Amino acid sequence: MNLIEQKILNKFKKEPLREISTTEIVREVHPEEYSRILSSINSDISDKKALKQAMRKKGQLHRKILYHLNKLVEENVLKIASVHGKGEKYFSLSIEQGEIVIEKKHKRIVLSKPSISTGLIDEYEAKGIVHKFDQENWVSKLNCILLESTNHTGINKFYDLVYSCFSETNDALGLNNFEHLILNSTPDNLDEILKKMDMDTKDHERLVNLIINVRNISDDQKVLDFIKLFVEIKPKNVFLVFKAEPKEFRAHEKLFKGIISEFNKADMKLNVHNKKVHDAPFIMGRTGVYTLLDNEWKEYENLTRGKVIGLAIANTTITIDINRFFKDEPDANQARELIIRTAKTLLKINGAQKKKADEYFRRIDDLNKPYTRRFFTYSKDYIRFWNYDLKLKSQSHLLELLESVRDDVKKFCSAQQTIYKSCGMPSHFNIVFSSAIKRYSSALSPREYSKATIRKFKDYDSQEINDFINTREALCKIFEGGDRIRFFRSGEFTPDDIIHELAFLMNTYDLPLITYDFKERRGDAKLTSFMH
Amino acid sequence: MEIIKNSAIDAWKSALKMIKEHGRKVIDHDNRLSQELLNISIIINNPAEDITKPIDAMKELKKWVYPELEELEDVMFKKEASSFYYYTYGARIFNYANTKNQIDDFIIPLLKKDPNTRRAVVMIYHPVSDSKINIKESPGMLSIMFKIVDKKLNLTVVIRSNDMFIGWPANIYQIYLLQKYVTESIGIETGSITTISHSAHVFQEYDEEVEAILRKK
Repeated sequence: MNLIEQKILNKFKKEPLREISTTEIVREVHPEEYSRILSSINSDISDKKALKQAMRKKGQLHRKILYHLNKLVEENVLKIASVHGKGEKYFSLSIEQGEIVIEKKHKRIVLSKPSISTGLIDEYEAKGIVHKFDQENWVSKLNCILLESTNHTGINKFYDLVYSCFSETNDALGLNNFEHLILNSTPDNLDEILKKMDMDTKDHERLVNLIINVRNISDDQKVLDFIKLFVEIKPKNVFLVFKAEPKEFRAHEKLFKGIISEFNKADMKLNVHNKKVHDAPFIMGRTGVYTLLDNEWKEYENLTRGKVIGLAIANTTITIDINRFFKDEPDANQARELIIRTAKTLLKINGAQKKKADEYFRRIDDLNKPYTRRFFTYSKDYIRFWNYDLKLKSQSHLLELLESVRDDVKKFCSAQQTIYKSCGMPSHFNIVFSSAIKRYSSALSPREYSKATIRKFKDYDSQEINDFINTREALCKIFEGGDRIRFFRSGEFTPDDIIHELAFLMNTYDLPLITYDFKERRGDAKLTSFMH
Repeated sequence: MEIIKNSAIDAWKSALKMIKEHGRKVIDHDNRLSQELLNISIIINNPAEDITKPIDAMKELKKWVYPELEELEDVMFKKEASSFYYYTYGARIFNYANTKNQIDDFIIPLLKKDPNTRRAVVMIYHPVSDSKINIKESPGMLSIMFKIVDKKLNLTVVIRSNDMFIGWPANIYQIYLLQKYVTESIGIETGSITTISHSAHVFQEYDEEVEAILRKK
């Protein structure tokens, strides 16, 4: 068997349930060559000729690998699973489940693809009510990982780790205390890494959150310079989350004025994590927001931080489209039944993932040994809800219903943990609720719930905005998996106005994650309007 | 307190009834209310008769996902330790401290050599890794004693903390599998299984389901 084919097949052996892009396979087979080509493409000092040459080499490598991939497709080992973007092919194993044995010239590779029954929710899936997130990879990958920046002194080494984690996750990464690397890296280095991150997150369809702990900022100017760089590159799949207490926010007022001014010019969103309300980090993914419970975060900080590369935050996600579900006017018991069925499905996926964890997460195991279990201790499965509108008559009791089903789900998880513990397989299994976001899937129903638009500070006195905030506050308490509230800021304002409004929100309400979106500032929207 | 029954289902129901009637109320570290009795000994004279019945009864409730029999067997006999579980019974029994296969290299040859031995004990608890203040998970099953009486192999299992409703059905099935494995290797019949549970408890949140099991004929 040809060495290239062997490397390709080994990639599929490790991730038998995944659809893998041609680019990812090229990187796997020729890591060094590909990395050299990318450096030339991204380098500011490359002239036109060098750039052209690098692009040509990139194309050659792709064609070479495609030749072998097509051969494996002809031999019925692989299939073309999908085509994305500018025609990039994604490949997966051709079998639905079971084993394929490939023997060529004394070399033998066995590829196996496990099957998991999801019969409990199939009927709802067919109606477009239930949506599994990234089903191809939901056993072999984690939804979300948090990595600790403070474990590293150099940003390049840290980025190698970040990059390697793109293939361990299928949604988002959070880089905790990223200010540490901003403060300790040169602007050129930061520029290079941000550009790489921009390209890699697009290639891999992953989101990265740079979590900046405001308390640790010792040099406002350095952070502002980084923000300017960030705004200039404007990486599509990289977000900044500023974690602060109200008083820390005030202490760095000048920095935030600069940030607001930059974000406003670039139509970017400002994410502020109010750690007075919730201390564990927030990570935004394609599915929605991820976080841990505060007591878990405290335990991690006291017992585990520094011993592991970070933490697994989430395993698998299933979303329930509330709007579609309530169209058939179900009663509370039917809703309860659907959520419990979803929980049972997540348990099956979780079990399948744990059973093969040694195989799927070998790299994570190596990076965390002997504390691998602690890395996975708090990771949760998510049930997310999409398109709910508490103002609708049919959904008027949704808050109470969610609260009560959440307790049922907690009991279910606790019983399952006891069962598995008694059987000699003690491991963690917990499900949390959260909301889904639009990026999750194009198959979700069109969004119909209200959004808040602020034109001036006085708008916060209005009944509409107050009702909106109070409902979101109540939801945040039920959504232990994390939730965020988004305000669209329109009309004329100065950075001082925004600082004032944010400080007011942080001091007055229990809103853990606030997003200020400046993209509607020239619009003339109502205070709360429906999104379609 | 001792319960002696011929079948697994009768033994299980008697234990549940005894705990519900006489157990003292206890709130555990997770703030869960349970009823508990100390040092209950349950003897099943003929486990082969209906060893999976308690598991079947749990599955019929359709409230939880109970592991399949193959999965339970796999856990009990899988030698490799996993970085992803705090411990597994299989690794503790067949690869204790990554060094000792307690069944194939000790119990079976010992029983073959000396059928009257009182030394045939398997340890599951490992003080070096389990006796740590901050550890939350340590094995419920502590040790298994193998004793041949009248050419039958009897097993006695000591369980530190035993959820009698949710956990015991799986425990007793896994112990039976081990008993069968050893008897087949040495060519004798299976005898009784005794479980000695130091803390035998039932959580109050399962009251409804416990009642359903007790009502079942």
